[in-house]
Parts: sequence; structure tokens; C-alpha cells
Amino acid sequence: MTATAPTTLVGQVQCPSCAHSFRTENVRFIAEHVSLQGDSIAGPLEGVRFRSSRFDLDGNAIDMAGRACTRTACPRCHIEMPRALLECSTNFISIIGAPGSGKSCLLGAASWSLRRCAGEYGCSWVDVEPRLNALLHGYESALFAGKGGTFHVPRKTEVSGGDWYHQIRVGARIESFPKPMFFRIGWQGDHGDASSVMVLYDNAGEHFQPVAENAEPAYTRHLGRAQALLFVFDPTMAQSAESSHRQELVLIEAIARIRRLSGVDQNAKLEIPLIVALTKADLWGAKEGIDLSNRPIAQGRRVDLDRKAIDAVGAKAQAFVAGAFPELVQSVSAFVDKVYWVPCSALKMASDGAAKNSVVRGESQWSEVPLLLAFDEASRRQGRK
Amino acid sequence: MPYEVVNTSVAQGLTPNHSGYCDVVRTRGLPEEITPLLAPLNYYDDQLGRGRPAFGVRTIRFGGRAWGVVSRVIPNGNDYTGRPNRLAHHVLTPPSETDSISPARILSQFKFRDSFDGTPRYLDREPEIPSTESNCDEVWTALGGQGWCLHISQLALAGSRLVVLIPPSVDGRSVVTSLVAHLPIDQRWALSVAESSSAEQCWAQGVAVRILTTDLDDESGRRTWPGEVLIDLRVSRTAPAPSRSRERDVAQGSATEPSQVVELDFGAFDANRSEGRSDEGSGPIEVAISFESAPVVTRHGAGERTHDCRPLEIQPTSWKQIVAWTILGLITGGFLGFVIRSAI
Repeated sequence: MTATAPTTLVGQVQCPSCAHSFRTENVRFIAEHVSLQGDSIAGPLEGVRFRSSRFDLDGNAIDMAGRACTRTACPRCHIEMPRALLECSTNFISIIGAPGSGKSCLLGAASWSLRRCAGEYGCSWVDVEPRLNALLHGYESALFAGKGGTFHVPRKTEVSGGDWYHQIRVGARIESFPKPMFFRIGWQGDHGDASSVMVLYDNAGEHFQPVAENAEPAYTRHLGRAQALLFVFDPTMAQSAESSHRQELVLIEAIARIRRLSGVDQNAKLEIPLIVALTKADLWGAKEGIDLSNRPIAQGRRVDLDRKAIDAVGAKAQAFVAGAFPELVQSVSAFVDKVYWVPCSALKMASDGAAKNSVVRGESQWSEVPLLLAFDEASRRQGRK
Repeated sequence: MPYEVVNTSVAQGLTPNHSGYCDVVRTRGLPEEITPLLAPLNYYDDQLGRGRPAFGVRTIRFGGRAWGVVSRVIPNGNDYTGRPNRLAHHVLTPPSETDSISPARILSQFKFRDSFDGTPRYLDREPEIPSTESNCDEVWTALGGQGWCLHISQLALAGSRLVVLIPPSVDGRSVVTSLVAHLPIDQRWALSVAESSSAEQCWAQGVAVRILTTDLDDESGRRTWPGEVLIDLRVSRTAPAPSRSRERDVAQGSATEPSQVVELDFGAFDANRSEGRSDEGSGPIEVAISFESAPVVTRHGAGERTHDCRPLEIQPTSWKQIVAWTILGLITGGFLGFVIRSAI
């Protein structure tokens, strides 16, 4: 028999849900046998979490009923985490933005785009555990893979409950954690194939509003361990008569929480890179002379991103934002050291000549760039440490 | 004084600079800190709800005490961003008034909002709760009789978790109202019921009875957890009330004694269901995966009731034992004292 157990394991693992840091050997396995259903923390519908002392030749744990168990969980919160986290380096990326700014749309568009064209950027992009990314698959299907090319707006992210959150029992109370999404991004490294696991968090925009943090801090705890921030800013939102939400307040609140959660000095700027994704560029980009028709591809170390092209477009986008939303540029420059401005478009608005109506099509432009840039920056910083 | 809260997705909420899902109506005087505790109750499950209103009776702990919450959540068109919206309307009963305000009164006659228009606002008046509750018992004639209502509520109060499947033709609001209306006044908030809610949500909210409206051929909502009792009232309109023999039959499908916790075995679970269907014909199907506490059935006249054995309840036999052991202890202590004093 050929043993398929990994030859290398990372020494220390950080739980993507509760941020608990633990040694690899302390990971819990999830019992597979139906008689072992019902966990005291994860809930009655989940298999028992246990620390195994028996393994098969493939490195799988054997549960109390003799079944081989391949799924792993955090020893503290008992929430399932992919086994790849025990074997690969991990990049945590938090997506923030005001309610209705298009976080879920951008994430769905970026993921769908990377599934189709990751090779052009010299990397691969796959789900680590498709089951754990079911929510994102729903976004992708709604936007791009509907029957007969139909397009649906993804459901609004709920503030609590539903498919967006893990719920666990902590003592006598129930705590909710946003469900992270896991992708393996692979590239050709110096010593052969290399890969990393990208962990993405898509919160409801309501969670970043001031005062919401008081009662349920667990929703945005991931900000404290984020290696890159992706701030989704919708320039068209301010012009809408319906919404008068001040989006820069969301960023200021998020930065304040990062300071609290990760212990950053109040006088110091944040070291983690901030990527400001300026969405709906199909509506305003052309007026500012921004052309997103070509993908920014050039030879790079990990992913083939054309930094010069991104910087050139970013400069125009920043000039536009500085003119229209000076409060955002001021806030960003006051709090963050490294900022990238990336215009992008998750969906394309096209006018239907016959009916003289605007039609929304599932067609993205540069939607994958903010995500790849965030990964590239996060992994560069990780490499330097 | 009871309070009401309406939560939906709007461009500008009650709290300045808040948009998206937020409170749009709140009775003045209700602490704002209670809002996050209501957030899990605002969720509307499209798959299980199917566009129908979802009612619920639950309690939340705020300030160290239990508040009663009666909720109604409905789909509410599209919000200001063009995405599907929902509207949750809660009536909260503070701890000081849970004895005087019955959830059945709120459920049966309170006018819940169907939509929200205008600007968010605080209400200066308390919600109008009728002084009487309307009788919703006739709903059980379509579900097999009043006996099911008593049986379900008693099982739930005894600690069992239940899933009750009802046909779409039956009004879920009346079922929930009737379930809580028949409880003793001091236990009316003790029974938590939720309509169109998933097993995970009910577990997280501590809900004992979840009611699902489904067609006969619909398998959604059949996901149960160990210890959950599934009561399918969709099959028969003339099903008899549950009986002792029936309950025992169900439990014996996978165990010899109903009081034993039955190990979950999905094979046996499916077998029980198919047997129930073929043997009973048009009778209701009740499948017990396990009983967390064994209901003891005693006869009261012509009907039958279940009584729960509460863990902290001291039985008369226990009192006798306590007295006997106390006397024995005193005698032994006195004797030992006498021996020690003699030795000194």
C-alpha cells in the first residue's frame, strides 16, 4: 500500500474561525460513524470531535466505531477546518465594505474569473474543500452560471443565522462565527510547485458599522489576524438618492477594530496592505480614462501580475476618488501605509438598444485583480518574516 | 409595558449612519443593546418558509432575566439595493410581565406589520395587545384532533425536541397559538416554538418545537438530530390522538424500552418510517429517534396525558428515604459520641 500521508506539516495552526492557535498534533478529528453524531460544542447535527490515538496507514484518524476520519476541526471551537491548513501556509484576507457595496458580488465574480483564467496569471485556483465553499458557489451560480445565461442578484448577506455563520455552544450561550471560504492557490516556486491556502471572509456590511461590535464581537474577530484588507468601495452609491451611507466610516471603524484586536500602536500606521476595490468601474471608469479591457499580466514571482499597469490605472482611480471623495483618501492615508487603488467591475451594465433599457450582464472586468494583489502582498510579507 | 421592534433592510435605519438590515421601528424605552440578541430571530429561511409568514415564540436572556418574544418574519419584496428583503416584527414582553401577558394573546390577535414605509421612527405608545385570546383549537380537527396539541406540548415541556410537519392548507399561526394556549399560565413562555426554522437554528435558539409546512412529497425539513421526535400530521385528517400503545410501538422500533436512549441508526429510522406508512395506512406517522426523557403516561378519565419526570422533582419515595437516612445518621452519631466519651 502506498501511504499518502503528507510528509510536511506546519508546526502551528491558526483556526480560521476562532483564531485559536494550536500545535498540529492537537487538531481534533470529526467522527464519521452515524452513531457518533452530536457534539457538545459544534451541535447535535455534527459528528463528535475527538483527539485520535489510532490512525490508518494514510494518516487518517480512526473513530470509536472504527471508521476512518479525514475531516479535522479546531480543538477549541470545534468548527471544521480543511486539512490543507495543516500542510500549507495560510493567508487570511478580510473583505470589508458598507452594506450593499457589492462585497459578495465581487467575491463571486473574482472567484469565477479565477476559475477560468488563473492560468493566465501563472497560478492555479481551486477550492480546498468544495463543501465549505458552498456559499460562494451559490454566488457564482447566481451571477454567471444560471440556466440559459440568466442572472440573479445574490441574496443579501444576513446579519446573523442562516448559511453564512457557524454556530457553536460556548458554555450556556451560542456564539456565531462567519463561515470562511478556502482556496488553494498554486504557483511555480523556486523549488518546484508551491501552494498556499487563501482564507476569505465575507461579512455582512452591517457588522462594520459603529456600535454593532459591542454585542457580537465574534463576527469581525478575523480582522485581527488579517494579512491583507480588501475594502470594497462603490463610488456610485453616494450618488444614489436611495442611499446616503458614508462608506469611509466603515473603513475607519474596521481599522479601529484591527488596532484593538491586533494590538497595533495608536500612533503607528497599519502595516498590512489595503486594497481599495473601486467597483462598478463600467459605469464611471471610461470618463476617467480607465481602460480595463486587458488583464494586467506580466511575469512575477508568485502570480504574474503586471504591477506597472495596476499602478498606472490605480493612479487615475486615486485621482478620481481624491476629487469626488476626499474624505476617503484622507482617512486611508492617515491610517494605512500601503494602499492600492484597483478599479474593477463584477457585472457589466449594457444598454439594450431595442428596448432602450439597461441590462445587467454577468461579465466581470479586473474583478480578480484585487484578490490576487491582496494575496501577492500578503505572501510577500509572509516571506519576509 | 411590552415593546415592539421592526427590523428590515433600508437605506437609513433608526440608528444614524446605519443601513442594510437594521431596526426601523422601536418602542421608546427599549434598550438598544437588546437589538443584537434579536438578530438571530430575524432570519427568514426561504426554502422552509416558502413565502408564508413564520411565527415564533421564544425567550431571550437580557440583563440576567428572561424576556418573552413573539415574532413574525415575512418576505418583503426587494430592498433599496434590489435584493430580496424580509421584515421581522417582534413583540417583547419584559420579565416583570411574562406572568400577565400570554404569548397566545399576542399571537392570536396582534396586528403584525406586512411592510414598512416612510422614515424610521420611535413609537411612544406601547403595542396594542388584546385582553383576550381567540380560540384556535379548530385547526386540530384537520390534523387528527385536539389530543395532538396536548401531546406535543407535554412532550416538549418534558424536554423532547419535536418537528411537527403540517400540510400547506393548515394555518401555521393557529397551530403555534393553540400549542401555547393550552399550557398552564406559568409555563406559557417555557415552551419555545418556531415555524419554518431549520434544525441548526432551533438548536442555537433553544427552540423545542419547530413546525414545518410541507407537501406530502416534500422531503425538505426532514433533517433531524438525535433525540428529535418527528410528528407528521400531513397524512391523515382523522388521525386519532396519540396513545400509550402507539408511543411504545414507535419506540420499540429500535429499542426495547421507551425510556432508553436509542442509538441513532438511519437504517432503522428509514425502516420505521416505511413500516409506519404501510401498516397504518392513513394514520399519522410518528418516528421517535430517541427520547431524552421518558414520558410517563397516566390515565385521566377518558383521555390520556403525559407527565414529565423532572430531574429536580423530589418524589414521595425520596422523602421517605431522606427521613430514614437522617434518623439512621443521628443514631449512629449518638452512638459514636457515646463511645468516644466513654474512651476519654
